[in-house]
Amino acid sequence: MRLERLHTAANVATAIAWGAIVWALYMVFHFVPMERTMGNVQRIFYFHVPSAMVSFLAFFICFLASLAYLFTRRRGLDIAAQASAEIGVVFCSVVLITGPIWAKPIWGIWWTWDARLTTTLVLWLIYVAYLMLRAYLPEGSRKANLAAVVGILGFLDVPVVYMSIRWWRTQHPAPVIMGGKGSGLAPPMSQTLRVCMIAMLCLFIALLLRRIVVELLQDEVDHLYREADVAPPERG
Amino acid sequence: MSPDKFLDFLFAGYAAFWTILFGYLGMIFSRQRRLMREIEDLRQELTGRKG
Repeated sequence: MRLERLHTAANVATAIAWGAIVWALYMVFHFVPMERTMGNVQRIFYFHVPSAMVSFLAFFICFLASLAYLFTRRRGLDIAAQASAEIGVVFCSVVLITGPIWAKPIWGIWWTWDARLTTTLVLWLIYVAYLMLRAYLPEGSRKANLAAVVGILGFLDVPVVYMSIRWWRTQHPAPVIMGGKGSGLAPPMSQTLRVCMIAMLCLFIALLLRRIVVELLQDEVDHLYREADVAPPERG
Repeated sequence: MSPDKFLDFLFAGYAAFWTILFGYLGMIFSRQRRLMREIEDLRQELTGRKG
């Protein structure tokens, strides 16, 4: 019953997310004017920044769910942490790929080891390690406990990534949101960015629900194998 | 700045986004389908044993 409700919620969230993405694409490619110095390639910014924000949110949810899991040992929290970390890695991959694609024509280089880029890569590696840990450790409470600890410690890098362009001089552009005096965006650009953030948030919710459904289905399969007294096949 | 300049990079940026998104969605949906099939088969086997 809970699975059916979640399945329906995932379908509704997916439909809303697609609508929001179409709206965001209209804003990016039709509504917002071309940036004067960078030209059309600046439009990558509207999907790059929201992807980064959503990856932070995903890792924050993983952090909270992991923390709560260690206190309560509820399987649902373990599932939420895993699903959220996986989606965080997906969005962080978008950030790490779209960033260099924007940087090459603007900076003349694909990559530089500045504080923002390096801490973001470290963040991605931490959560890839988290997912590998989950994939390779045998099932059981030890796996969930270890994953929760990594999920909590890994989140410590998120504030460092966020603050890196404030604490150090970096090649990466200075913050345009909450960056203090002299920062900010022209109104059409900030409107477009807001719409893109809403779209990415909707996409994140849809993916999270879908991923939780899949994990609950996996639990059901494991339960049925136990009931049938049959060894489950090796998971790839 | 010419509007046509660096359009290939803009295309590459959005292509990367869609590739990652659809790749991930494909993974989730194929796993979901496989699990639902597995549940169906296991339930049938359990019902057969009881019958």
